[in-house]
Amino acid sequence: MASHDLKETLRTISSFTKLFREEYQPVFDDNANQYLEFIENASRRMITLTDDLLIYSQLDNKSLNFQPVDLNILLSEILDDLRQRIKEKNAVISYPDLPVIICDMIQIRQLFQNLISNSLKYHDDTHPIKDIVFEALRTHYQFYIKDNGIGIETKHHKKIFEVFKRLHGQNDFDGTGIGLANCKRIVDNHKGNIWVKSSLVKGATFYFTLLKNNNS
Amino acid sequence: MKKINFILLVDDSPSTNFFNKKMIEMSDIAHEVHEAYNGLEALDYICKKGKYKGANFPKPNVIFLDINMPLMDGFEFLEQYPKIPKEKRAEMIIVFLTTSNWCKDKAKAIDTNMVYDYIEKPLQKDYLFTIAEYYHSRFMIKA
Repeated sequence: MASHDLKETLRTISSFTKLFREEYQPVFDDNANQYLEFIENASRRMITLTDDLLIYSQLDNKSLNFQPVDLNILLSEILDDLRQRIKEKNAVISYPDLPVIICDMIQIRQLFQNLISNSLKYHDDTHPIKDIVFEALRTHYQFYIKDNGIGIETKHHKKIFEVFKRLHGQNDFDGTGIGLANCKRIVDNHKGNIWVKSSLVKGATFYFTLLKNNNS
Repeated sequence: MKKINFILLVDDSPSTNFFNKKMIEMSDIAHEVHEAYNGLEALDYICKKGKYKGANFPKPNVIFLDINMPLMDGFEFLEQYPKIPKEKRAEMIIVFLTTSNWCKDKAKAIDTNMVYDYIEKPLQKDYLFTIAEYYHSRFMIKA
């Protein structure tokens, strides 16, 4: 309820900011233009933040709905959702034949989506390459998503999974600092682990495991 | 473009009503727009009761209806709506849903069989053009 009230209020702010610009743009000087731009950016950011926080809070107490999910279908849907950004970045994403696993579909979708969008985002190259790899271990499925992006210093490898921890300023990469915290929660809910192997400039590989027998 | 004669906005938030009215005016799809601040006021308005007693205005053709409202909310309004004589009822009702109750309220809105569409607030011009076009193709062929 609170989040919906928050969001509606925010939408009112951004709607009127838009209207304000539409109607009064001709009489704005540079100062006015810049002030309004700050307001627009802040309210846009606040909307994203509220959305992410809403997901974060739901991941905690939402009753999990375990069901068989074909990851090939799930992944093709995610890539379809992201096709605009993939095209803009000229990214190449490859993945092997993936299994059908027992999981909470909404959460696992969120997990893959966050990790893939992260690897699209944290990039200064024009040809990002992402490989998604899958292995069946004894008790768990293990996946990793390997990219050739900007990489992460070793000292930050744990910190990035905490909520609101960001390594970059808004000017470099936009973000709320909730995405990877959500991933961690989802993996915890599936009795698995998530970690990263990376060093600066050399890309990053995000690993995660999900318990095979998540029925119980 | 042919205009819709009369649009009724039902929402308790003055800023939302103001904005939605502005969008309708800017997209120029209606001759008249009126705002009501809850379901009860909307009923009074349509039936020309209460503070609208004896008033002389046309019936609304399209109603944009918020769900969360004081006094009488959107669903309570929809419960009362079939009791209004048919000739006073609007051709289309479009419901504003909020993110937090989206799935639950959407199912409930569909169940009433009275709701043409359910959307997020506030109104967007493109959406209004689509509605105006649909309205004319569906209800104004004879005109």
